Amino acid sequence: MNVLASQDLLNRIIWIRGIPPVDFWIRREGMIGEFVQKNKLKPIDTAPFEIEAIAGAVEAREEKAALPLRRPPFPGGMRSPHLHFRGAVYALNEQQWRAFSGGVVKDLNERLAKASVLSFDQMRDVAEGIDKFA
Amino acid sequence: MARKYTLCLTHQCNLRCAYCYIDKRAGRMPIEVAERIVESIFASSASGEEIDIGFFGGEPLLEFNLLTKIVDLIESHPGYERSAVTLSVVTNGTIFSDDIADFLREHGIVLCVSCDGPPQVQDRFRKYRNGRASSAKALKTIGIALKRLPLVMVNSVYRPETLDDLPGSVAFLSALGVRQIYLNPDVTAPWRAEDAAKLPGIYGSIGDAYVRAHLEDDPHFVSILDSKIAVLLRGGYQRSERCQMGSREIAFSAEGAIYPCERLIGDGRGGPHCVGNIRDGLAPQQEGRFCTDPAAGATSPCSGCGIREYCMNWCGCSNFLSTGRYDRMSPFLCASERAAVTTALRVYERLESIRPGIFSDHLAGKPSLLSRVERRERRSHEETPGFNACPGH
Repeated sequence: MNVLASQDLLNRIIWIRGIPPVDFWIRREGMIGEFVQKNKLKPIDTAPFEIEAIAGAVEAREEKAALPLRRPPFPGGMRSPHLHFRGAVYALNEQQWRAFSGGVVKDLNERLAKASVLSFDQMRDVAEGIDKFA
Repeated sequence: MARKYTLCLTHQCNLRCAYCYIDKRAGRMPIEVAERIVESIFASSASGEEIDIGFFGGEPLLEFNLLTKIVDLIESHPGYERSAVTLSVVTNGTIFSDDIADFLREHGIVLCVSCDGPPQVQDRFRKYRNGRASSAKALKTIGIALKRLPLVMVNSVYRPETLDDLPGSVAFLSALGVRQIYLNPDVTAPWRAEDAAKLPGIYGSIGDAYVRAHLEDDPHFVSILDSKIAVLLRGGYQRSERCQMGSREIAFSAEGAIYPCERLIGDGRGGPHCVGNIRDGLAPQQEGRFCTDPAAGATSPCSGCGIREYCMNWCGCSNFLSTGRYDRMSPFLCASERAAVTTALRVYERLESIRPGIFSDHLAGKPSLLSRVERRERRSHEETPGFNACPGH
């Protein structure tokens, strides 16, 4: 079989080459795949979103969005909650978005409690040490 | 993962900002050097690969004619793909005209103006050679640019002397109509522990204004918040978001000397950070030389830090300029990152509880310049008669 004849594979190659720009979706593929499966999400057709982006037709997007859209200035792609998994796009409703993103807040609060502090005194000691040897 | 190239068109500048890291001297980029750089950029990029090319100085708009010629070189190159290349210019805002605005708009070049805030803040460190204040011209440029260009970024630098003014400066820029605000400390300043202790309150105050703006349906991009919200949703900085100085991030002095980052150009005639010259080609750079991960060593204070994945401790130029080492972070930047992450998290919690999904685009988008979709969107707006500003302005 000509591998490029497979649309899925082609999408995936395009995906890995950097469209869209972040590698989050690839590095967290396992976790995202699990979420998609657990919530029985179905991929959506993204072509209308691309056309809308070109035309700037925000109203048309709002009808399709599960949650309110956010306008620029943040540079991003489709402005409604969604996940990317293996070249396909999965839209999320409010409950699903909360489930997906909720963990990050809890996790970061815990991490902040363990944040280190670089002390100014320590830095001064290092600088003085360097001066001594210079 | 975009490749980032910065071209220092000239080492001359009409201002003498106290914290500028480029040494001022005569020196303009010869067009032959620009040709070699453009050729090398496309030769080392795959078809369709995202490329960010920034025009820098000195003051690059002192050499506006040269800039137009280089843009022509880029756009007429057989490897040029409009959707993959982002052009930007960083200016001090004192040299601007209708012709410049028209050219930037016509070629989709992003304008970034350096402005620290209201006159009493801006004029403290951004002065002409004769000591004259620069605020009147810079603010006029921002006003014109906002009316005529689809995207205007403002980069504000703060020092210990202006730290308390930071929330006021953000409010001032917002009132002017600026919606893309980048805040950067002068990393070379003599920061003290007392300054670091103020950061949670100062960033928190900016966070409050940011929340209010969102609730009034007038969102702003504020770098210390938006970039951290993106990072918190992604569970840390992704590989492509981290500094890649000397490999995918390259800067050129006016004579074509190659540096890992524009902040390390100095006088542009060689020096400890120089890794070659474009006349010898754009060889694979010495990546190992610029190892910038302070958390890499087990004995590093960063290695056990709970938020190291959310921290910009990998910014080699900031580290070098503040501590003399690419891989050592300064205590002030450590405090700034902690305060930014904490503030971003609180902002996220507040806004997400009121408007769920409001930050979903931060998971997908990138907090820098423009995405492909936005570039296309912007171009379609440019082709629409009567369009003259970003939505929300």
